[in-house]
Amino acid sequence: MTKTKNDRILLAHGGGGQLTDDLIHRHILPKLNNETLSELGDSAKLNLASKSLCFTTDSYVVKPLFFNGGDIGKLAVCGTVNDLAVAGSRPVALSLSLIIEDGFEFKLLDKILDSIGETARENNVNIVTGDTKTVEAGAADRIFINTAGIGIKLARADMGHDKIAVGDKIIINGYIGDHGMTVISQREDIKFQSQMQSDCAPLAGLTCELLENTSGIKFMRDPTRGGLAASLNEISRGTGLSIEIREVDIPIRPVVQAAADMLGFDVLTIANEGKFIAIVSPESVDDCMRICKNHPLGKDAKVIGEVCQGSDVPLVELITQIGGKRIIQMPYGRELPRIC
Amino acid sequence: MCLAIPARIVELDGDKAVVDAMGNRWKAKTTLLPEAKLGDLVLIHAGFAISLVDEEEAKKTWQLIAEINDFQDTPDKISG
Amino acid sequence: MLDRIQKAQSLCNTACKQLARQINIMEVCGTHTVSIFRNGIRSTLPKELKLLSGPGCPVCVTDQGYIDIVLQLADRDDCLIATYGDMIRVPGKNSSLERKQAKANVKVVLSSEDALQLAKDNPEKTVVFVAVGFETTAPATAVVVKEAAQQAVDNFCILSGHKLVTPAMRALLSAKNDKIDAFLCPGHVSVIIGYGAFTEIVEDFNRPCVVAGFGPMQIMEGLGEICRQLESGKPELKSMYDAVVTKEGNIPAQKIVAECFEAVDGYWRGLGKIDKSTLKLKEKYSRFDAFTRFKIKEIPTEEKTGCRCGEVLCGLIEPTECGLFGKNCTPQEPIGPCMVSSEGACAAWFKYGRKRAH
Repeated sequence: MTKTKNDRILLAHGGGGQLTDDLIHRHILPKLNNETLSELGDSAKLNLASKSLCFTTDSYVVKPLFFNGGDIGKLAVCGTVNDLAVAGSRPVALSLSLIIEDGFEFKLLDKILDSIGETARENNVNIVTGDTKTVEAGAADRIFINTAGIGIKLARADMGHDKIAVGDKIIINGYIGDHGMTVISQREDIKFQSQMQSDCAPLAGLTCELLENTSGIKFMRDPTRGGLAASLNEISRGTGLSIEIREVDIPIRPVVQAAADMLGFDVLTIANEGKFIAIVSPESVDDCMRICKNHPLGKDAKVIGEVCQGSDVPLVELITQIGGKRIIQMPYGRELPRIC
Repeated sequence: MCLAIPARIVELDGDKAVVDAMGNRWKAKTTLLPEAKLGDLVLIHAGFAISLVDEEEAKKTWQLIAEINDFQDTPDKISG
Repeated sequence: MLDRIQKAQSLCNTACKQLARQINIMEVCGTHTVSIFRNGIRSTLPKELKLLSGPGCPVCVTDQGYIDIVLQLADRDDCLIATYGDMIRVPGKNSSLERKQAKANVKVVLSSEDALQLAKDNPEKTVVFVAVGFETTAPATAVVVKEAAQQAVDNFCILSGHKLVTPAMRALLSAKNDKIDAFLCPGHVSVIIGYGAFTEIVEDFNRPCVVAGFGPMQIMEGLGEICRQLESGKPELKSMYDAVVTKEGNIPAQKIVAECFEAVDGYWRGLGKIDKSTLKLKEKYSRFDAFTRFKIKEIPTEEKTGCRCGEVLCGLIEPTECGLFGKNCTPQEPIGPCMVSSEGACAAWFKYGRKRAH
């Protein structure tokens, strides 16, 4: 039987037989190499130092798969690492599930796996277990990825909605809107050239440093889908308190603002993948800002506002650059370009 | 019905242009603005240049313009 | 910037004090509505100064009958619908374009040129371009209609929903409505039609008309100028957007629109029929007119009894005085434009209550 050089995924790669074996040993394992994964058990056996754990999962369906500043692989690791980080834990293990379309090119899969491996290694996180399925062309928009993650809760982390109080300050670690606008700029239907880059980055290093060296961090959140607007509204709803932030203090790059202006988007609703907001006691603001500014992922950090007493309806409000006040609404969930 | 932003023409071939707004490059047509030239600051709406922007006037009222001037690349090329 | 804004604010304060009554200023541009909202402008004005959001969002005033036609065409296997993003969520009788997107034959475009290209790339389908927008956007449609004719792109057509601003302004003032004291006129419509187009409003109705740009300072200075005129008792036509607006406007753009379109009577959601307020393709280009091609007549929707958007728009009633408010008409299931637009008077009132919605 002639063996043709195969440069694409076939349905048989998900069949559990020879081709699956080949896929795992030639493409996946070498890039994610660690002892636990190499056992290829049905489940990964973990010995963890603590019973106080955080557990999260996320699926990644971003289009395009490759964008300035990252790709779906890097995103799949950072997104889950960040969810563990803002929950006050140190990420230790991830699972990786791939759903791949028949016909997906190996060279693209290899690039994605390289990204996953590199990002995981840089953050001392192992992919300890995984799964691969194949589907017919068209059924998975080329590739879908799911990662789930376990983190060990930091002893000093004591966060929750119930900890948040009137007067607490809100810090963001840098520029907003970069990831969402970059991805939008490379979408087929909108495509335009730009200097923008995704801010996709793993935050656990910075969040752990903050939590281990300060004592007033009440809550953290990563403003991904729905952007800052969604995260602040969720916090307001969950606490029954109002939030006030100042437009002049919110860091936005001019290139991102201009792109949003052209399309009619509100940068406050645009996704971020390397940002977190921290709600901190007024006494710990200085320490938190000092730690942020000394870290590459926090050097552009700003105090953007504070928690205030809710009135009849808890609201998130913006003090605008002209000193006006307006409500920041919960975004619909989908940004559409406008002409009006 | 009026979302339009100022951008500078950095490429121009007939009525097909590329415009730059703070580092974003968009395709635009100058069909409605036949007098537009390479290097002009124009107002873009729905993919069309609809007006020249008087930069002196704009500086008086338009924050964006001040930022654009700080940011500017020199225009690249005329093709064709 | 802040000192100029303070100066504008003080003109507003003085006028309110001197006139000792409520002042109502209407803006007729959806982009002004959004900018006023995003910059929190209302919160900086004296409480006697009320900003009315007029029928300036071309999408929100698009009659439901028009949307239903688009949805019918979206259901056809031989059609691709090309639309600006604004239209995606506007409701028809039973559905919206957003819900049709799952079928993959509704494409969001940023420019009419993209719609024409879609037709060239899909010769086996008929591409219908949902051509909405006011005078700012109509020239972009006219350009591609001419290009389609020149390049024989016969599978391209437009469903014109283009509306005209000045007939709507006249209709609002003629309806024995003495509540509107002045207009903040749309900056980018004026780029096309020239600020001279508003002369008739000043002369026939004695109302100040001030053209302003869209930044917060530009809007505040526009309002300040209006207040100054109201206090002086001498309504004038003035443009404060000289960077891009002239008295005559963009002549090539006006010419191309006149070549392709004529003004006919049209139906506005919430306002009913307004004479010569909608653009229809001329006979010469009728083969690119989706109404002709698919033999459709726009049938105005029977306004559901009780929709009082027209009165809300003009500031004659508060949203709560409309019998449908909060019951049949909510932001999730909106009926009239005031609820369709997320910054419309009714939507704002519904979400945030009287205190916050102004």
